[in-house]
Amino acid sequence: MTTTGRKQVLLLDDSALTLDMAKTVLEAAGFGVLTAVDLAALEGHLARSKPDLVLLDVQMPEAFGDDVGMVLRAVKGMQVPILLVSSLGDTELAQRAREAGVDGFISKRAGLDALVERVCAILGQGPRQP
Amino acid sequence: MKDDLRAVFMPRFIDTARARLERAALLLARRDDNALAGELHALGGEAAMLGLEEFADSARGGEIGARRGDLAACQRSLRTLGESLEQVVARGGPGGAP
Repeated sequence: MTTTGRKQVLLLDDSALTLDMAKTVLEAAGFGVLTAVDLAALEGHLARSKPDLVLLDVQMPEAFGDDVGMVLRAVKGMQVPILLVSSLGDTELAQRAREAGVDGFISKRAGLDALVERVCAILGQGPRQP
Repeated sequence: MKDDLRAVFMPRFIDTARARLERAALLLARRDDNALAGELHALGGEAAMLGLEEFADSARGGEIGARRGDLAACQRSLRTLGESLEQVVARGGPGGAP
């Protein structure tokens, strides 16, 4: 939760464009958004803040998001929802999420609107009307 | 997605896609299949989030070709992606006139 009372989403993706698109639509929906383009940035955010939801890209140059999710959940004991976000197929994503012990996935193929809808559903918040 | 958001992000997508395709062509020439697959995967994800489904599918096809070491499939994919990108430019993005 942010100091302004907004639920906070932490998003890890190696694509700066993807991060900016997701941040824009999620902030428009009323969420606070922290973005991390690599693991160092992710660790920095986690040291300073307590997000309400963590979204992890799967295929990145330095790590797989499902491995990162497994560490956050099993090693660091993170209890907030952790979801994988990827353009991989749903079957593979579901399997990766299950094996990593995280809470599910969001397909990039469903687009930005679906991303916002899913985050709203998970965090129990309706999208802010324009 | 609202058209104003598309309008904001489409120019940046086009610039990013052009740069990724240039890098992909170099990686293909070097036969760096893993890096090529990663580049096309990232491109496909960015396209998918903007609702460019056919573009994303082409990128995915190239990514699969790269992971299999299928040079011909990668060449076809890069050619298709280059043509598709210019079509996106010509119509001003997916919300533009056909």
